[in-house]
Amino acid sequence: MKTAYFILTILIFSTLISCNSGPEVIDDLSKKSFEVVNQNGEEITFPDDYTGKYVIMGFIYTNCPDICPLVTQNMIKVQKELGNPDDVQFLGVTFDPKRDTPQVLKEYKNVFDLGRNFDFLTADSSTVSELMDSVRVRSQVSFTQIRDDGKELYFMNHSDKIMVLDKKGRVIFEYGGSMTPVNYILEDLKKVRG
Amino acid sequence: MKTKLILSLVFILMLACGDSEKKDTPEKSIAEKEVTDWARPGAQGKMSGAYFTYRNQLSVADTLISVQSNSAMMTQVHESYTTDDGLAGMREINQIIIRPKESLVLQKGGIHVMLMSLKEALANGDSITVELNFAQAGVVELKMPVLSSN
Repeated sequence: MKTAYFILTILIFSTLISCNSGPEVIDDLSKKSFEVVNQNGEEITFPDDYTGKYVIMGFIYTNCPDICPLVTQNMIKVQKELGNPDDVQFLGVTFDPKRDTPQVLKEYKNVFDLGRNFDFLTADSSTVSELMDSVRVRSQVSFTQIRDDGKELYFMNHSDKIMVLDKKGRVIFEYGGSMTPVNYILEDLKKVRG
Repeated sequence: MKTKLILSLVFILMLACGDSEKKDTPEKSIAEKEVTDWARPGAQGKMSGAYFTYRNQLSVADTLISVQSNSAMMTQVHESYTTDDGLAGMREINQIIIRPKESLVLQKGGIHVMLMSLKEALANGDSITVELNFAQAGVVELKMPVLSSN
């Protein structure tokens, strides 16, 4: 009889633990702090300033004509499907701070049909490198083109990623940014937001 | 017995007919049809991508040699691909051969026309023209809408 009670207790305990465990934490950014600026030049401490919100974060550079707009479009689709919720913040973070100044990010933002709670972030080069290393986003110049006016344009190979942070600044989901069906992101968000 | 068998067959046939009617999808309206020729919005001085489907109507193979657009300072055909170490990359394609009666499809995340350093901002609802220079067909002009949500 005692054994039966013991087994039953273990079973209930395990069930409770599994119910409350939530998704596995991929990267804990809560102990880190990055001083960044958004497209309006407003200073932001990431991820601290977004504590209490889920953050959907994609990585882009504005001179990217094909993959990065798809990453942004995927985040826009999620935003629209969720109906611009107050508890979710959308962030596009550049890995090309040399060219992607706040003003350039502002112009980039204006190109898309974005709702509230969608910011683009940049910072000085060392902060951007540190932030990208923290979330395992890689980028490198792949080739350059010389325009007719002699100006040089460079393009980049880069990680293709969207990730979700929980309300405590921990990365809990990661996706291929440009080609992931939006439903995958929505279903995962539903699990944690309820 | 025979009557039952015949009635059963008729019933099965009726079900089958009903089923085939259900499978017929109504013809899509113009608005619902997929737009295959379109370009991305872009800020002045920045980038855009153009996508289209071109069918080679000739009885011989044709080659796309170059592309040009007055909307951008430079226009090239590029291909998005994944590098050996898993990064998203892009590379120029100098020529594309299209076999007779086959189509060349340029689409998101694949082969696309890259409009570099836009002369003016492209916004949803605008339209642009892209000239395709073929070895056999000569210059083909494609006019396409700028769409933000395609």
